[in-house]
Amino acid sequence: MPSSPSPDSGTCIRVAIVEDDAHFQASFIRAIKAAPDMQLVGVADTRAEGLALLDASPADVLLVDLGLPDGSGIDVIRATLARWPECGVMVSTTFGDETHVMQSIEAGAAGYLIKDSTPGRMTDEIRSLAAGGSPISPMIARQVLQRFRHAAPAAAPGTPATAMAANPSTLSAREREVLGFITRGFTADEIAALMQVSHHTVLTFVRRIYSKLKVSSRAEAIYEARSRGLLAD
Amino acid sequence: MKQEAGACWRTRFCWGLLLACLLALAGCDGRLGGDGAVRLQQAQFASVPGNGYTAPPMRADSGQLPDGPWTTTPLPHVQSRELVPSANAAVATATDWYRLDLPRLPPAPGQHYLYIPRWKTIGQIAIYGDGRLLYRSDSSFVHNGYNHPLLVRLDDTAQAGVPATVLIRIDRLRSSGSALSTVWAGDARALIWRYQVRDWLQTQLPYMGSAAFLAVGAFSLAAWLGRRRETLYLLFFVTSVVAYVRTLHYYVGISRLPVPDDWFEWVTVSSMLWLLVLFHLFLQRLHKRPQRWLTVALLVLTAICNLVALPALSAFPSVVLTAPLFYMAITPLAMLTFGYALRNAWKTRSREVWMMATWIFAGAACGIHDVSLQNNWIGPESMYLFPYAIIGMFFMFTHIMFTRYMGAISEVEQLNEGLAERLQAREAELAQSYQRLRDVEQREMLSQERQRLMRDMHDGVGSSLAMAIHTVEHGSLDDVQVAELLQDCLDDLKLAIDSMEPVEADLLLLLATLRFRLAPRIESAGIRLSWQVQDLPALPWLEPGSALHVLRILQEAFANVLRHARASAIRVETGVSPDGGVLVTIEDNGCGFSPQAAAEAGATQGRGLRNQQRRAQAVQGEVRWTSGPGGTRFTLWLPLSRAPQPVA
Repeated sequence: MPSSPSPDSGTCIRVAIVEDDAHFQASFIRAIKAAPDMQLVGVADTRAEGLALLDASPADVLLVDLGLPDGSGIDVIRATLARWPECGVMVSTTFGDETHVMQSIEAGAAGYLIKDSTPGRMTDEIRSLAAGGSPISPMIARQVLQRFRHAAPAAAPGTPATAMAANPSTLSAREREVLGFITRGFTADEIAALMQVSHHTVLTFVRRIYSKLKVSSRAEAIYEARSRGLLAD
Repeated sequence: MKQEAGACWRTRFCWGLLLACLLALAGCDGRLGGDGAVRLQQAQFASVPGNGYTAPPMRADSGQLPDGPWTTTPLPHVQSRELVPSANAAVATATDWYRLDLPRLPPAPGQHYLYIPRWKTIGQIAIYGDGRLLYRSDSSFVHNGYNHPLLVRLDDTAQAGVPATVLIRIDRLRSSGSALSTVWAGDARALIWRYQVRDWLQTQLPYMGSAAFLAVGAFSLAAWLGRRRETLYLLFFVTSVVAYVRTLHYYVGISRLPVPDDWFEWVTVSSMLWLLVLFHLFLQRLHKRPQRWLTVALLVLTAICNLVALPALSAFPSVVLTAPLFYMAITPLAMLTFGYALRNAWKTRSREVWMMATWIFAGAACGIHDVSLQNNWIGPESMYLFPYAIIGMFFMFTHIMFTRYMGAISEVEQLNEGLAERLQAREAELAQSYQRLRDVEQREMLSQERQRLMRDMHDGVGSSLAMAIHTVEHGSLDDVQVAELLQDCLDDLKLAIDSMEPVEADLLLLLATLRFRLAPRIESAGIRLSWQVQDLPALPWLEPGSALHVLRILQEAFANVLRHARASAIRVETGVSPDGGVLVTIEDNGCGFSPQAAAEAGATQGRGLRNQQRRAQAVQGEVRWTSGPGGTRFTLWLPLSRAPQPVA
């Protein structure tokens, strides 16, 4: 997983957090403070406080817990995207399980952070997210593939690859390839080598897939029942 | 059905009303000045006996006629007929002359007519205007168009004026009698419609009625050909044919017939008898109380009459002359048949039988009237009514057949409806029992899943946590080690959660998930992981229970490397084994171990190995170790498909 420093270490990454778990909040704040290229710009314990944070100037990365005492973090995700469109929203989760993560991504989150990660890993993930990348697990990759299963499996002959990639209801061949590798257990580094692209490119592929998922999730809700098919790629 | 029957009755009522109006119209007693028509109700009459028929002369002036005394006679005028013909009946003829002096008709040039509603003879008719032949019948002597009214143009040539005197010549057999109705003279406007109405009622309506009957009969025949068991349809068809034949003599004969008179008369008389038989058979079908002897008697008598009347065999001079005798012969049996039908109508109280019985009265009345008319017992001004009885019968039979037909259809519909309902009920039952079965299955599955998770919690996270608490309480481990132990607990939990995601038979996805979970640990231990996997065939048995077994086996293999091997690299490989099955290999470059010694030692590692073996057995797989100084090679073999047995 990513361990490279931020590509634009010259600028400071502004980070905010909405988290009711005091221990995790503390360890997270510690990790941010220890990172020289990051700046903590806001901390909230509840959904209401989290929504109030959005009145301040935008952060680059917002970390949100889904289970807040006064409501769902999903609301905070939606509000953030409306107020701070440039902000990368990251969901903090204990298990990184499919149900929670998919739900967050459909609401517009760009990534997730597993709560028991080491401080070093936490800051790596934040940097990657700020640089336009997104993390993904094999189970989630498989789930995404299933969501897009009903759409054209690959670019039709004669269709420019860029047009295909821009189409929010289908995955491009490259995007499918990345997801396929991930479901087979390869890491972003390995995939970058296999596809002869940079590590960062692989992670931006994932980000683009997530944004397609967000766009299509509503329109394709009707397909969900149908798309519970097979994974075989 | 009721409504349709009602409609049918209404239709008949309307027909009846129309008929009554037309009859009234036909019989209406117009006078000169009213509408330009004169009804002549008396004539001068003279009769000249002869021997055999003679052709009418071209000219006939009343002055030149045989001196036979002219007598004044009222019109209609009737010569009655001999019921039992005498020996020379076929040759003894007479020629009757009627002289009519026409009143002055209002001027209507070229538009004057003579209209005779009915004339009746076995012979011929000729009409003269001021001695000049205006009209003569041109067909056989018997079927000579006697049922057709006559309309004769009086001023039919350029120079001819309206004649002052009209002579009507009718020759006849002396035994058969003859009749002449009143005679009308007048202009076209007054007479043509009278003629047309009478013609329509007397010949055309019976003709159309019998043709319609025949058409429905053809339909009925087709129905019978399709369903041979329904003989009622066949009976209907035969009845329609016989009725058609019977009705023929009311409207044919205006021109010469292609068959001899005797044969045609024989057919006409026979068809009447057969109509009676058929009517009887039809009635029997309706009241379902067959009287064999009556049927047999009717058939025998009809057959005898038919035979006796056959012109070739007949001992009588002519069927034409003896027809009334046959009708009389059959009358008692007919009365018996109808009486019996009435009794059954009373007993069964079936609407259809009642209808038939009502018709019988009407039919009998028509029959009596017609016989009277034929024998000149009543005035010739009247019309034959039996054709209307046949039309009535046609409507009645059609109504009965239609009712049967609709009844059959609605029966089928009801049957279908019942069938659909039963089917629906069965479907609902089936759906219910299926739902119950599913509920049971669901509960069973939930209970199994609960047991599986509880066992896993107990053996895995539960025991790890217990151990952690125990060691912390005894202070035998430092903080880092406690953290590691707790990290193990969390990893266990994560894998348990992963195992619950459906992997859809994809072992590689399961391996990928394991790598994703363990990567941070392996990375932080400074071990390089080489991921050499290839695509594997689907393992259909890989449901959550089995998936967790596989995850735990491999987790333990990784844990062994991390804990004991002091390795710097791990290589993970997948492949298809030659014996049909899949292989997962985990190879390290550590110090190696003796699985035998480890197992016997009973240490933590030994327990781990035993767990792996137990879990492998549970999924009908196998685990193998080969170890040496260069490292350890762990292999998990899994079958492509599994013999059905409960998941442990």
